[in-house]
Amino acid sequence: MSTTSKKHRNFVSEPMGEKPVTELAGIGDVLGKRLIDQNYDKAYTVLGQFLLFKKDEGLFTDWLNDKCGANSKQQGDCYQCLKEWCDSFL
Amino acid sequence: MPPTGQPTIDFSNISDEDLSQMLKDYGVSVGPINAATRKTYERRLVQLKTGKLPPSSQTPVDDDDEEVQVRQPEPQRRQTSNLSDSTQSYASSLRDSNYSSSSSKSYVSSVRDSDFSASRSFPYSERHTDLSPDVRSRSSLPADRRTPSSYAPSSLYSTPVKGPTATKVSKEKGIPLWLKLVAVAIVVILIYLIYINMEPAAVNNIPEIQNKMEV
Repeated sequence: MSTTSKKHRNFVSEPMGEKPVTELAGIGDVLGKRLIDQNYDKAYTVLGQFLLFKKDEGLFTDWLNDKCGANSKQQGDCYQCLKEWCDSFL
Repeated sequence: MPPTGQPTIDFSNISDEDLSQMLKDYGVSVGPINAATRKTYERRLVQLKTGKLPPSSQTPVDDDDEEVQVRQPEPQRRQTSNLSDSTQSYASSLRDSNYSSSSSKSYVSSVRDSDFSASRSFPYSERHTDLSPDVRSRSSLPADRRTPSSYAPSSLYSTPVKGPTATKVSKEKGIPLWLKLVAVAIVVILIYLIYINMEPAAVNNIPEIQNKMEV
């Protein structure tokens, strides 16, 4: 069984509904605020972006880095979180 | 906020269809190009044409929600975290999965083939700075670790440190294949010896009473 962060497990275990973007794995308070300032306030807006890139890791992480300055670990955490959520619920 | 300070090719004037076609020529799986995605696709095309990796556009923040835990690889290529001690446990489990699949592959190719996302999980590999020259020479090999995704070019997010880190760890901590085979052979021989020397099934020496008489 893979060991992931609690935040990741919490997020992928249920539909995201209206969860804020800070609920995404890899997105903490600072990154979350940067995203919120650009109107990506809900997790589903970031999901929308993820899907627009056809779930491509490189494009999505590049976008995430550009939007909020996430480092590669944070990018990866967020990508993995969304990918697994999509695998379960999309 | 333009990500690069150096002069870059400007694709903001070409049409969405042209941009899409140019990206497809590089093998990128192109999704819809609209206001939300255009800039990213333009950046991607610049990277593909120049082969350069742009610096981060914003201040990197080491802000994350919580502690990192070790992630073990699964057959479907999960990502792992990258603490220095976790890399070792990951490398050992990586080797196990390698050997079970095909023992003929080299360390580097098996690292490359078994888990592409694994090499992504070593972004803190800057700690592992003392690479030996032969490991460093392999650094170019894992560059194509992102090929299953969509694009051919190799040097997008990678630093050459990432790949060699995995190989370096596996080299340092690895038990050679032949040694493992010897261990397995010894175990098999022991089991065989035990089997040979096992006692036959117990024989019941108590004679049966043929005529049972009610008393």
